Formats: sequence, structure tokens, C-alpha cells
Amino acid sequence: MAVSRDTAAPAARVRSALADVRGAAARSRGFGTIRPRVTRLIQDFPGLALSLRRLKLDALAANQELVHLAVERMRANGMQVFLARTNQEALDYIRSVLSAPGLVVKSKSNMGKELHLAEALVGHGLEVIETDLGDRINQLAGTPGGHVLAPAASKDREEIRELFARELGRDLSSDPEVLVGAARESLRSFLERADYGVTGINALAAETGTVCLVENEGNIRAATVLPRVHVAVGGIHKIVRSLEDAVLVIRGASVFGAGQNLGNYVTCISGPGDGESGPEEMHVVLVDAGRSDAIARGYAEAFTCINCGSCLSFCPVYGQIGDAFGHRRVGGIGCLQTALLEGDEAGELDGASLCIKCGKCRTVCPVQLDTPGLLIRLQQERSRPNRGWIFPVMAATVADRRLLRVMGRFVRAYQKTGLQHFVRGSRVLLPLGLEPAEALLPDRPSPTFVPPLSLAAQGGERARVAFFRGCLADELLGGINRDTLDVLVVNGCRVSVPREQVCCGAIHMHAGDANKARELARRNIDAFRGDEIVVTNSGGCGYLLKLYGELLADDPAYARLARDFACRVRDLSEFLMALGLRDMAGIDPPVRVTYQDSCHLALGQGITEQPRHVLRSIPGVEFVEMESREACCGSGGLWGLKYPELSRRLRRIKLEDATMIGAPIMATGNPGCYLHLQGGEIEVMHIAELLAAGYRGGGVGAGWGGGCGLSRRRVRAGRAS
Amino acid sequence: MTGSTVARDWSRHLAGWSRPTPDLVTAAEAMFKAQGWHVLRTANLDEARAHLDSLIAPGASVVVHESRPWESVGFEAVLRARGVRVERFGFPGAEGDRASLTAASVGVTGATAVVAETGTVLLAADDAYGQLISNLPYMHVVVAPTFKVVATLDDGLWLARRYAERVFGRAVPRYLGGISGPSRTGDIEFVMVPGMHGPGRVHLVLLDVEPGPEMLGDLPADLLYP
Repeated sequence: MAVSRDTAAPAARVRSALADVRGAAARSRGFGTIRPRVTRLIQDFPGLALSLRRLKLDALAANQELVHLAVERMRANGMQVFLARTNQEALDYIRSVLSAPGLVVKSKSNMGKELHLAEALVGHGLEVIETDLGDRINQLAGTPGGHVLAPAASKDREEIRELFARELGRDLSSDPEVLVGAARESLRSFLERADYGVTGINALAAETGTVCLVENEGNIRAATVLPRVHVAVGGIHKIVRSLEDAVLVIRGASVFGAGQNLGNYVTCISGPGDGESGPEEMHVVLVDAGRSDAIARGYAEAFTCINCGSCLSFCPVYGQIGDAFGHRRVGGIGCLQTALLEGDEAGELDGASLCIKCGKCRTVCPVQLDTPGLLIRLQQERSRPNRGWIFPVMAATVADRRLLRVMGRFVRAYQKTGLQHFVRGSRVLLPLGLEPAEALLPDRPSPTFVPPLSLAAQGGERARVAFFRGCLADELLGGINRDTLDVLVVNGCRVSVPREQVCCGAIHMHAGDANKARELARRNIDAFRGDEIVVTNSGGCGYLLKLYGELLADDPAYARLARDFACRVRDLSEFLMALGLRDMAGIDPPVRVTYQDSCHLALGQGITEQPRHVLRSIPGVEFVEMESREACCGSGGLWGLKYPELSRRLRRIKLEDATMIGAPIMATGNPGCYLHLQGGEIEVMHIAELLAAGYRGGGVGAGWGGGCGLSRRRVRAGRAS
Repeated sequence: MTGSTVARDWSRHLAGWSRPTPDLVTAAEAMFKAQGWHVLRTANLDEARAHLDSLIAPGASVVVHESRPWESVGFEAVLRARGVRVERFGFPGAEGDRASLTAASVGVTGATAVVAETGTVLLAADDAYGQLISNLPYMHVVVAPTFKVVATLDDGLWLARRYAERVFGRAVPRYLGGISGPSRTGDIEFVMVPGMHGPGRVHLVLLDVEPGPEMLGDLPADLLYP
């Protein structure tokens, strides 16, 4: 597949970032510290994210009015306020304020980064010193720093030691305390003689005209009061109503971003100093630069972001490639904002397509910002069709049962004839760009399995369910569907498998083809008329099936039907835990099993306990919890085909996690993860396969010989009846 | 009420002031310690003086921001008698030399509110000296009465607003600082190191005293002044 011009940059960045072993190790250490801290602390603030989300959405809905009020109140406080329509206007104004030559002490500022403010001021003949330690480290190294809270997250202490030793002209130890002492001494000398202090804005309270800032180091406090002139610069989306609201924003940033009860220093300034104790002049530069347009276009949510950096700390992609996930702005939210403010091309260049859409960010966000959802929505609104040929072929195939069957036959022939061994050995697909797609195929051919239209319950009927077969899994992993039906039947379910069902549409949604997804959704809703529970063994399918109500909300003929349908959808483990599993013989010899959370199941549907409960219920399964270093296994559907090296890196990490806990078997509830993870040193099994083995008795078996053998009998029975 | 229940209570309520319960003060002490403050709570001014004596070395240079409790302890005279250089800022009629702020080794301030849920000293002022004095020297000492302990940040903001309204005739103070422990950075491998730009050591001296009779509207003046 030819790499088109505007994706070349992110792909090239990914390759060099993946080669930076030292940076990855530094991030891994850092995030290994901050992730558990944040995860633990946010449990103590159950309502905070929802309150903040509402507060910010409310402030953005009234943004025009609040901008007006804030400007008026700040001027009444004696501040000089400039409302910049564009980045250029903001830069021009700041340059006019800093007209005399001098020394600028600058603190961390996202807007400053967007404006390339430091470079612009240096070009203007000023000396600019970054005073945040992480930023200073990057300034000395000449590297950009992307992570909001930890700009030097990709540098280790040895590298930092070298930088400060060079700057101070003396040898230092690499002990962090020594390095911090050296940085204090050096930066203090700049702060004390600075002419200008330039800071960002964390939140701006409109009612009192108050600029609010938060930090841990104390450089912001110094930069706001030591120099003669203080310039604070921020986007108009930072405006909230009251001082109390602003402090709540700071609270959220502290808890979610740093895992801290409250940032060390909160600074709220409601006027310039008297010229004696504080600065003579205070300037506030509020930048619109497309924000009010984006809000008017219905994308206010993208600007509820309070820049705490939590999403970056938890993002599996950022974890692996760091600042290469971004350019002007960093991470999924950064790319989203770039796309909204500067256009799709710019967003793409920043790396919007690098978002794997696992949804981890949303669960750790102080405003529950749905970055993946907004990126998908933006993609759907694009007029540009998706490039390349893999997607259209794949999309057409999964949407058509007959084409799927043909593909399935082809794949099985490919596997059985030994062609697969030849292809994998010779790597002939490499120049064609098809190797990542081929690698997803199972190592062994899956048994041909065409599910019957209906199956009778065994041992007394307890429930009536309809089974959603899925598409790719149906053809490539038929054994899983067979085992799923077996498990349902032995648990007393009468199962129907509607013939007219089609692909759920997730692949089309992901690729931005919402219309095709809606068409498939309508066909599925028609196929599943009735009131049975709809059971799926695919976390990915289940996620979208449960969203049909929202997908078809504007379709007058289907809105209600879609909502009703969505309410009936259950994941296999969710359904079985609620139903209660019947006793089983168990697996013998016993096996040690760990479980891999599928993003669509765990983060998308909140199903984490049910699969574990089901696995623990199987006699002979010793369930062990692995420590997942990254949220996602790196499959991501088409994403994995676009970024194969990154996808393989995440896969390897997940397999190593299982190895570390000593589990030879990793269970999963999603065929997408299954296809991606299989073929390595860890045996990957669907929960349905382990359950079927449990009901069958004996060992787990090697791959597809399994099943309880029930459905084959039921097939005949079903057809006879 | 324990420290942890205070920490979990982030709910916002803008009620008026009421005297802190003994449990709240105890919870505040625990949270301040958890945030890295060294805390002494005492009703005995001799003990407070002895404690300050142990903190402030004979060779120190001290800068002080307006603080009624600091005045009540009367330690400044002791320091001066000992030849320690003490400069006062923000007190009525007493302005120190701004240049000496950067050379000082100890900064002393009062507090507008002592916030239990976060271990935060809120410092409201119309001048920027409080910000400088609590930031530039390596040691920061806060002297505050226990009746300034409040449960939540919003309670603290409430007091800061009343102070600004009744003393400066403004809705909010020009400078409002929240300090929740020593300056720190985690920028090197996420290892927390104290004393990056601001003080590496922070002390809170909580005095178990009663507010004086002077009132500002319906609130004791000692409650509003730092």
C-alpha cells in the first residue's frame, strides 16, 4: 500500500520513536509510578469528573458571554487584556509588550507551545529561559517536550546529568537531589534578574477576572511576581464562571494529572501588583484561533480538556512512542484539537490516526472526554474517502456473508496447503505491504462451522437467546462460535441464530463510514426481531451493538427499535454470570490462566468482573491476574494494519505480561484480540473455548479439536425438527 | 472525623463560618503532615517560641509578611536582640527592602485559612510580598491560630473573599496563594525531590488561641486578617 504524503510523517516518527529504547525505558519507569498513584487516588473522588465535565461544558456553552465578562472584569482589576483572533495576532501583541530587549522567564504553557512563543521571542532578540525543570531540560537538550506534566518523561537521570554538567561547567552526580539543587541555583539567578515573566493560564474566573495557575515547583509563582511585566497567555476555553469553579478545575488537574490531592502551589491573581511588591504591568492574552468556531460546530467537548496530561500517562500509544504521537499538539486530544483548529490535514500530520481508540483515556480523564469518539465523528464528517484498497475490500467482504464464506475457504486452503508456511518463511508479502494483515490469520485452520438456525436447550430450558455470530471470527475462528453455542446449550439456553444477520459495522465505523454502519445496523435489527437476549462472544461487536440506539437516534423508523435492540445485547460472560453457570466436569490436568481485558469489553462496556468470574468458575482453572503494563494489546482492527510495528510492540508487551505471571494460557473475550495475540509463546483461548473444555472434561486440548461436541448433535437435531 | 474522610470530602459548600471542631483540627494536622509540612500545635506561647528558636538558626536572615499571630508570639524581638536581621513586609507602616527578599533564608507568613482536606495554607493579600516571602527563602514558616482551620478549599475561599471585601473593598484578594507542602518536582524519572524553586522545608505552627474582641461585621477581625 502506497504511503500517502500526509501520513508519511507520523509513520516515520513512529519508526524512529520505536527505535529509541532509552526513551521508552524512561517512560515505562515514569508511568509505572504515576499510573498506580492516579488510579488509586481517583477512587476517592467519584463525582469529581462528572462535576467538572458539566462545569466546563456549561462554561463553553456560554463562552462568548464569559469572554466578554472576563475581559471587562480583568480590565477593572487593572490588567491589560488582549483578545487575539489568531495565533499571529497573539504573537504580535506579546512582541509589542516585550518590546525592549531583556530576559524572559517562561513557565509551562500549552498555548506558549502552540504559538512557538519561545522561538518567536528569541527571534525578537530576547533571551528566553524555560523555568519549569522538565522544560528547561528539554531546552538544554534542544528537544521538544510533549507530556504536559512531565515534559522530560523520555529522559533518564544520566542524560539530565550530562545536560546540567555542561550548562554549569562542572561535574555533578546523577542523584536527582543533586540535579534539582543545581537546577534551582541556576534558574534562580535567571528569575531574579528577569525583565519579563511569561506564564500560561490553567483557568480564568470570569466573575472576578482572576487568572489561576497550578504547579509543584514554584517557578510560576516567581515568574508572576518577580519581573516588572507579567504576561499570561491562554485559550479562550480556559474561562469558567467563578473562582470556586477555577479552583475545582485545578483540583481535577491535580488529582487526575498528578495523582495529587492538590497541586503544591495554587496562584490566583486578580490584578497587577502595585509596582512595588509585584509587577507594574500584567497582560492577559486570550487566544481564540478557531476555538469559538469549533465550539459552534458542536465540538465544545474537545475544549473541555484541562490539560492535566492524565490521558498521555495512560495512553498505550504514547507509552510506546512518546512525543512522536503528536507534532503541534500531543496525544489523541492534541491531534483532535489540531484537526479542529487547523484542519484535517494538520490533524493527520500531528498523528490523529495514531489513536488506537481503546478508550483508556476517557476512564482517567477529569472531564471524561471521549477523544476516540470525537475523532471518529470528525472522520465521518470528512468528505474525503478513505485511501488505500485494503479497507474497501475488507469492508465489502465483511458486509456480505457470501463473500465472507469465499474468503474463509480461501484462507483455509491457504493454511492447509502449506502455502502459509511458505509465505511466512519467504516474506513475499513484505513488499506488498500485506504482511501485517497476513500475520492476523490463525496458525491453524479453524474447523468449518456453519451454525444451525436453532438449537434446543439441554437439561431443561432456562433462557431463550439469539446468537450474534460476528463476521471475521465466524469464518476464521469458527471453533469459538461452536464452543459458544455448546456452552449456551448445556446451560439450558434455547438458541436461535438468525440467518439474515450481518457484520455489526464496527469496521465501517472505525474507518469513518457511518452510513454503511447504519445500514448494517438496520439489517441486524431486522434480523433480530423478537424479545430474546442477543448474545455475542465478541467484545468489539458487542460494544457497537450496544450503541445502535445512538447510531440510529436520528432515524425515525429505527430509533426506537435500535434502542430496544441495544438493551437486549449481552456479552457472553455478562450473560452467563447473570444466568449462573451449571456445574461442569472441569479441566484436567489443571491449567494456569490469565485474562486479557479487551478494550471494547472492559473500557467500552465496563465488563471486567464477569469474564474473571466465569473463568474462576471453571474447576481446574487456576486464575491469575497479570499486571497489564499497557491497556491495549495493540490490535485495533485496521489500526494494526496501518501501524504494524507499533501494533506488534504492544502485542509483545501483552504476551510478556502473561509470561511474567507464569500463565501459559491467556483468555480473551474478543476475537479481534484473539487473532492479534495468537501465534506467540502464550496460548490464546477464548473464554468460550475454556468453558467448553470445562464442560467436556479432560484437558484444554491443543486448539481446534475441542468443543463439547454438543452442537454437532444439536445441528442434526435442529435440522430434523 | 479522620484525615482520610476529610480528604474524600471535596464537596462544595459555601456556608458561613463556624468554629472548627477539635476533630477537624486533628484531621488538619494529619493531612498537613501527610503533605510534607512539619506541624507544631500548641496553646503555650513559650513552647511556640522555643520551637521557632530551634528552627531559625542564629545566622539566618528572616523576612516576615503581615501576621497577627507572629506578633502575638513576640519572637521577633528575641531574634533582633540576638542580632538576626529581620525585615517586615505588608505590616501597616513597615516596608522592608525588596532586594533583601531574594537573599533571605527564612520566610514567615500568617495564613488566611488552614485547609484540612488538602493540607493547604491559603494566603490572601493585596500585595505580592506574601507570594515572594513564601517562595524565595528555602524555609517557610506559617504561624496561624487553630480557629483558621476550615474543612474544604471552598471554605477557605469563602474566608479569603470576606477578607478582601471587608478589608480591601474588593470581591477577591489581588493575590491568593495556596501552598500545600514543600516545593517539589518529579521531572527527573518521576522521583519526588523537594525544594525545586520554592522552599524545601515548610513549617506550620498552629496556636490554640482565641480570636480577639475586634470585629469586622459579623466576623472576628483575627479570623480575616492573616
